[in-house]
Amino acid sequence: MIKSPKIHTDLLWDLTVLFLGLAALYFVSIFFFRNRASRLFRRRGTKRTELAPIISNFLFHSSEDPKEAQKEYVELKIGIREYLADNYFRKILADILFDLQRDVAGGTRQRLFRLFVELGLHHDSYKKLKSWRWNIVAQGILELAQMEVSHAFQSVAKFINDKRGIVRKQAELAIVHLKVDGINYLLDNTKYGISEWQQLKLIEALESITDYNPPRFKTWLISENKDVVLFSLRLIKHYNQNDAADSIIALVKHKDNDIKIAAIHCIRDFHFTKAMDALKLVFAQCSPIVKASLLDTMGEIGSEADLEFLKHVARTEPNFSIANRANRAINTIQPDAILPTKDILEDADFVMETITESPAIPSDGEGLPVENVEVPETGEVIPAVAEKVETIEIEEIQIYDLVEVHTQPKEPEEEEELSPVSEEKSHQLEILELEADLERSLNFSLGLVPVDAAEIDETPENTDYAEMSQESREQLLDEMTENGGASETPLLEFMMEHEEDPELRFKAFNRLRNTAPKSQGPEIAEVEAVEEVAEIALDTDDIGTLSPEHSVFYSLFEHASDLDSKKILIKETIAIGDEKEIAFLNHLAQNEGDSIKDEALKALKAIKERRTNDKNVPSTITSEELLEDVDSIVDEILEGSGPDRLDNHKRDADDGTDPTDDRIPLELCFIYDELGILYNGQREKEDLGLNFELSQEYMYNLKEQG
Amino acid sequence: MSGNLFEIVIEYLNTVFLLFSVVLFTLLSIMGYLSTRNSIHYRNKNKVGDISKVMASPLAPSITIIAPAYNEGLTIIENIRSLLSLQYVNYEVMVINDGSIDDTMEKMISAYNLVKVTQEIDPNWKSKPIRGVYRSRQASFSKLIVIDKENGGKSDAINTGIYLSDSKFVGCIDVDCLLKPDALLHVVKSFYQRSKKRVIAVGGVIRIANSCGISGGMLEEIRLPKNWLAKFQLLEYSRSFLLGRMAWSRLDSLLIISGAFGFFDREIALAVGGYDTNTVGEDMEIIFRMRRYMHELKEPYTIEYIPDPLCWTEVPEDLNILVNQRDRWARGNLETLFKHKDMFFNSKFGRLGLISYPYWFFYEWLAPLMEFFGFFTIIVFAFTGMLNWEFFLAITMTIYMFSVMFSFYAILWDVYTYNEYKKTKDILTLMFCALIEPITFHPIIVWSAVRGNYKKLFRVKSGWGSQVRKGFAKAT
Amino acid sequence: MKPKELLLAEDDPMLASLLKFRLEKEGYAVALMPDGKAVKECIATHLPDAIISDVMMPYFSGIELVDYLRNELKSKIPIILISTASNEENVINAFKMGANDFLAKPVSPSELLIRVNREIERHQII
Repeated sequence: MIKSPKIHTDLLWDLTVLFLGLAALYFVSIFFFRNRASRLFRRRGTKRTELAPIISNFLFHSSEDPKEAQKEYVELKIGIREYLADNYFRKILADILFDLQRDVAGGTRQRLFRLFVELGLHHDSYKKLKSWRWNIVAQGILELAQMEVSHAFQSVAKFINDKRGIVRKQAELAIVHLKVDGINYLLDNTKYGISEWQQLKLIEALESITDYNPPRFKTWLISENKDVVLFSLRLIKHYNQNDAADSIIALVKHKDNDIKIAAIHCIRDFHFTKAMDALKLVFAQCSPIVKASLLDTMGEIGSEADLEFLKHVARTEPNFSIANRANRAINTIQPDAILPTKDILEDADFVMETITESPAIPSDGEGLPVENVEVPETGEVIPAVAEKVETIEIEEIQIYDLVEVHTQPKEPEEEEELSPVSEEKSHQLEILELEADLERSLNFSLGLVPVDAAEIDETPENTDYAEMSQESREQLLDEMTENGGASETPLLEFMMEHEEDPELRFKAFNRLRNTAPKSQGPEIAEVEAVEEVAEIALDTDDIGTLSPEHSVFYSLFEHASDLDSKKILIKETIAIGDEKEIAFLNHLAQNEGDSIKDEALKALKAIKERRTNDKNVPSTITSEELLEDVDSIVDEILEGSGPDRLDNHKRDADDGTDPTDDRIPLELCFIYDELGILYNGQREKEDLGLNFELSQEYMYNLKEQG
Repeated sequence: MSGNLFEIVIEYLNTVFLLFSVVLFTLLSIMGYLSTRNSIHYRNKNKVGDISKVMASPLAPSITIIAPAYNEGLTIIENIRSLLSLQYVNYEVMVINDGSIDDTMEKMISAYNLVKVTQEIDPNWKSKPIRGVYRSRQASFSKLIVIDKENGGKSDAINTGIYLSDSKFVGCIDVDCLLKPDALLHVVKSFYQRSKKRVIAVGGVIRIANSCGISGGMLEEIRLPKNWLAKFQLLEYSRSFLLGRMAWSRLDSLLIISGAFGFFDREIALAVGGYDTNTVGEDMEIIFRMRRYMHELKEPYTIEYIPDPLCWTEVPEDLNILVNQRDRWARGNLETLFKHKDMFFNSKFGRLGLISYPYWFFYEWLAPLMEFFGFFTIIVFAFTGMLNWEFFLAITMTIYMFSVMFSFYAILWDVYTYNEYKKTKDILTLMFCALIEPITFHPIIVWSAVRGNYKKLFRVKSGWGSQVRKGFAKAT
Repeated sequence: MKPKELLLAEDDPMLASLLKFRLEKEGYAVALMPDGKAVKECIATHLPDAIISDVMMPYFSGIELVDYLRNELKSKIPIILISTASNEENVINAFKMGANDFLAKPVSPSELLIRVNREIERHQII
């Protein structure tokens, strides 16, 4: 650096000054941005606190409010019109509503959407669709979708083949949000790939649709868009549509690994045994990951005839973990082939499932035969496992107990540990219970495992209870009637469920009804369940979605011994049936012999008539009213027939044990019939035709089906 | 005559130095521009997506987090607890005890109620022998797997993890890293958002957690480090992650994913044979190899980078540890570049061969050496009285101002995007760091790099050294 | 009759104000708290009839609040927790500590109202 042959020192100084200038600029910008950000934040904050009460007022306004509140509401409504001309105000307001939408649920959320449109804020979102900046367009689409502006469907749908990725993705999500069959439109029309993330989001959007009746996705398995095929396969698996065996098996030969794997998973889940040959055929050309899922599936669906192939793989496959999987598959099909050193616990589930049959667990198998149905032949592997690694087995049992406790009545095993006498008793109890409890056994025969609150709630008290004598039980019950609180509820429920003496059961039931209003479910699980029930009741506006199984009579009908009793049953449906029975009767009318068909049609007609005439039936009032277009309800609410109506309905549906209604569980009806007891409440309301309520357990089953 | 020749040589040297600086300025400016574009794009893109609901989706892929642990007895229990509480459903935490000689293993067994399970292991698997696979007896820790193996170094431990995992994606992290609860959601999104390219790896920002308020495995309060070395590193990391990697990611030419927070498609990672156990720059080397593999397969692929602050870690506050760490990075750099020298300006590898590799060669590897020798030349000139002081002053100021400006830009961007440091005092402190960094912190870094290169080139025996575990390839 | 006092701790001002409005409409006196620290200071001097709290709050989480109320103050007043991330572990922890009820976000204001009514009624019986 003796001298500068080419570059003048001046130039360097100029550069220095330039950089200095830039540094100074950045210095200023740093503080400018910081201040601006915090200023905006503060301004937003103040605007929000200003607007919050106004929005609340709009959302919770009701015509039954006192006069002053009414006046205030009207004034606010007029006042806000003036402000709405201001762009900034509208933007803030839209932001607030958009944020709120994420945090609230139920009727308030619906009212929020209405408010958004009423204030004309959706026009701004529409305007955003016309912007040339993709992020603004995407934002607009998002707003329209999240605020459920359903008439935006067409405007949004045209973006699903937009070349800007983010816009396209938002549009795809939006149309699924906005319309129930949006997914059909998407799968039919999309030309672009659907990324895995997008598939995830789309399923999330589908899940958020209440009472969704998915189309048969096999329609799209022939699509030319690879991602549509892949996504359809996943949807088929997700929605358990097992009617596309041939297409799925053909797709195992697809060149794309993801599609292959998705198809293989479907085959495994739906147990398409005829796919075995196709699986073997493609095996050699597959990548290790596909091979692994192929072998797992072969193990699941294979038979002894396939052992030769698997053994061949196990011998010749160079990749150790694949060969290992082949051995595992062999063991799954034919447990005798187990090799002494093979891994035992690599797959924890494997042992957890099979251990059900292991003698190490004092199982209640005899009480609940259906529960063990799913245990495959793999169960025989267990003795070998148990002998070899004892410590591990203990571990698994512990986990098993923790996880599975609610599907098994726990008391028998606990009692077995306590004393032999109680053990005997408990078995007796179970058998008696099965005999006495018609409803329960019917549910079993439907293949549904009752998961009911009483079992989740199991307290030590309950097990004590099972050991008590008749007298002490009575005494306990009386004591509870005198000084009981909400904490007794689980025990009472347990009694209702398991007590063999009908009188005690009835007492428990009555007692429960008295406590219930104060303790509508002391446990989350129960509360959630109740909500679900309410949801079912709310969503009955679409009868088409109810399957025949939803009817109480379905199970009875399945077990009726002869034609006459079936006819009698159908006649009964006329008396007490509601929309749930319609699907059932339709089913009968289509699938049964002539005489039954005639009866069914008659009944159908009668119920439909009654449904239109008779609006006073207490239990149908919820569903009746909700049958009307949801929109109109929202209309009413906003027009002022009481914003809490939706919630009131919900509340009605919530507590089946509301003190004001004297419905009794269906099981009790049967018991009363048997014993010839007349229940007071029953008589008074006889004319209404509906004198029982569905037990929670039944609702649980409904939930599981739906 | 000889004086004349000497002058010509010096003129050439001058030109080379100047050219080098000018190209560097230009490249850095382009990088600044690209990263700005990319950050704005990223921000706009993520404004419209909500990731929280996806955690329990039926399509959510499985992820295994692999955390090698060596003599971490003091903190291991808390660290694992923090890893187990991430917001995601389909994941497991695999802690690899790399033959610790303290009580790491015993502590884990008792705290998490571990029990040995049998697992079949490929007798030909090339990593150090596995002593046992452990799982917890408690259902609440069902996500935890602990592998006890003989000591083989970090790469060997992670390779074992990749092999034993069953998941679609594997994440390699330092066990003492603090992950934000939604970190895995971001990772899954990055892996899954492409429909045309296969994402083979995902990397992220490393943020500095020194002096931050941490309780119960959660980051409670973000504070500027009190230690000055850590402050300088914070500035350095901001530049490198917010500007540098963001720009490389824009060009789809990311060459490095930090070992402290890197996720891989397990299938590809296995196919390339996992980490190279013979280099100390394994986190860079594996990316080179994965890219090479995909190029040879001719499959469209990419490597994603997440700028959100998801991973927080502590950087060395001790000068010796820092020098050793940078020394190691320099050696790793050299080893990797040497191993893949066929990529140099090789159009067969696309941008990788034409842009990333040469940049890495000239500006990550050669630059510190140039600076070092330039410095000595100047001293020699100054003593021989041949130094043109005016020119020297001018060019020094130019370079100095450029570096200050670039740091300011990084701070600006930090403020504009995530604004983690709320106090005005903190921002001013960072700016002060930027002002004095070229004459304080930077020489240390240059010296460490030169030392590393010297060791490597002159075969001075040096492995990870005893300082290794504290530093453990924190960033980069 | 003196209105029942509720303490509502929620860091999102919009939602907080909305819920406050709904509860006040039903005749409760509602005190709003923006963070856990304020709640702690408030309950140190005066206990309300029930507390509704977000789990994720700055300075002092809902879970810590439950712990503090039950174990430090030995109070049995009803606590209803609200949380976005329905992290199972969190919920279980909350109930173990002695929270009375738990609501996941998004929250239905009417549902919250019902639950508040119920908890207060139940508390009075005990």
